[in-house]
Amino acid sequence: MKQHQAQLWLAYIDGEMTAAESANFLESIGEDDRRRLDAELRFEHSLSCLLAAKAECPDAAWSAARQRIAAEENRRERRYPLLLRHAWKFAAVAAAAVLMFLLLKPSDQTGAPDFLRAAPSLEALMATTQVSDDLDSVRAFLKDNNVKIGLKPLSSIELPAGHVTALRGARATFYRGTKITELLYECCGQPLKIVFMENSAAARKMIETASRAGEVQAWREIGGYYAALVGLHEARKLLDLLEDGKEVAG
Amino acid sequence: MVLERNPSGTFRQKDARVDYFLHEIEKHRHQFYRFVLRNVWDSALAEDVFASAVLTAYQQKAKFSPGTNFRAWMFRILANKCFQANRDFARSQRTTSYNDEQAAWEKLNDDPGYAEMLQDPERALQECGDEIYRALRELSTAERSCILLRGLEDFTYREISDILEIPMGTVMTHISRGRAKLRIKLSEYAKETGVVRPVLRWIPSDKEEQNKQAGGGAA
Repeated sequence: MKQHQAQLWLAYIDGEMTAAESANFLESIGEDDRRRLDAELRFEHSLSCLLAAKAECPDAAWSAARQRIAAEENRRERRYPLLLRHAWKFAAVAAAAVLMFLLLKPSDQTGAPDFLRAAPSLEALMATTQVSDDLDSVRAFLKDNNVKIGLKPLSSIELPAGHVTALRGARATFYRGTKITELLYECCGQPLKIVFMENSAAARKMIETASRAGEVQAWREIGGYYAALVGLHEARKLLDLLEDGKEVAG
Repeated sequence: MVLERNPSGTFRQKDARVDYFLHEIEKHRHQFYRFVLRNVWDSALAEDVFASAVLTAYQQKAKFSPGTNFRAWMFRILANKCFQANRDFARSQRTTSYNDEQAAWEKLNDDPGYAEMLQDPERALQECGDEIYRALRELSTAERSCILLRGLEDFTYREISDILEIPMGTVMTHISRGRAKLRIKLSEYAKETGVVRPVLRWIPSDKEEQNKQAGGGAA
């Protein structure tokens, strides 16, 4: 039998031909060869059945295989405890959490210093006052801190109807060597403050930045100072309480 | 992550992939064991090779992609283990190996004993009994693996090529040569033991042939 013919026989016996190829092949061989081919198929089938018989996996063999796996698992567990095996995952999660915190922490969102950002609540604002909330005390505080700005009483300005406004105190802090003086107010239960900074290019730039970020709703230059109204509640009229260098009677 | 207890009382992670893996092996364990048994011919060795293959598969389970052909993946490991086991096992004797498959098939074509076997292959093979396993043992591991993967496990030539990592043409050569050797061995056994009694044909001598052609009688 020629090599090519032998390969065709092999392919036919092993079902490697398509239906069309099989039909063509059978047509190309004689009757004797077809009978021989049929016998070879039966021979191959019988041989496979005999080889497949009496060869089931004993339970002992399967049990031995399972025991080897169990031994391997115990060995791995002793050498690499659960926490150590997954340490890299924990480290990755921790690194991701730190990165998210650095990206999303609120103090970096506007670029403005804390004194030019709205207080989180009225209670938080009132907790920072360094003087009692009557007008005389606040005026004295301004004088003590060399802020030569007159402060008029609330009754001297016309506020929008229904707005309940009150003076809540004052405080003074330092920011990068510059004194910051703040008047603390409440309007309709919301915290507001007027922040005084001495005239300087840096102070102006900070206020402009905070204004663009929406933290400063209005500001003006008065008596050698910049006065910025800080807070989310609309109350621009409050800046009208300020007078240049005059002490106004209450 | 799901935890389960070790026998010692400590915890370990329950790996869902291990459950799937063990489930698939148990589902096909008879086929896997059969392949090993017919390849290494010794039942004690077969159990050892089988367990070793299962452990290797467990250690490499991360390399298996769920959804792909698990049987083919596992048979590759089993075949490699069988190759290693047969290399380590010193075979005592080998029959003449017909490395020229064409010559082997031509010999079979002229073999009256084989022709007789083909008259009733089922009966002839039944009567050969354990000689079938001995004949299979005398093939090379590659020939035997190809025949088993094709005949018992119904893999295509291409799948066998992937499993054994050999070219498809080589698969066909191994199958063809292996089958020819098997048949030669079984035919010899069948004739020796009387499983088949091939019909003798009278082959005239040259002189008889000349007399016949000249119209003369038999000598």
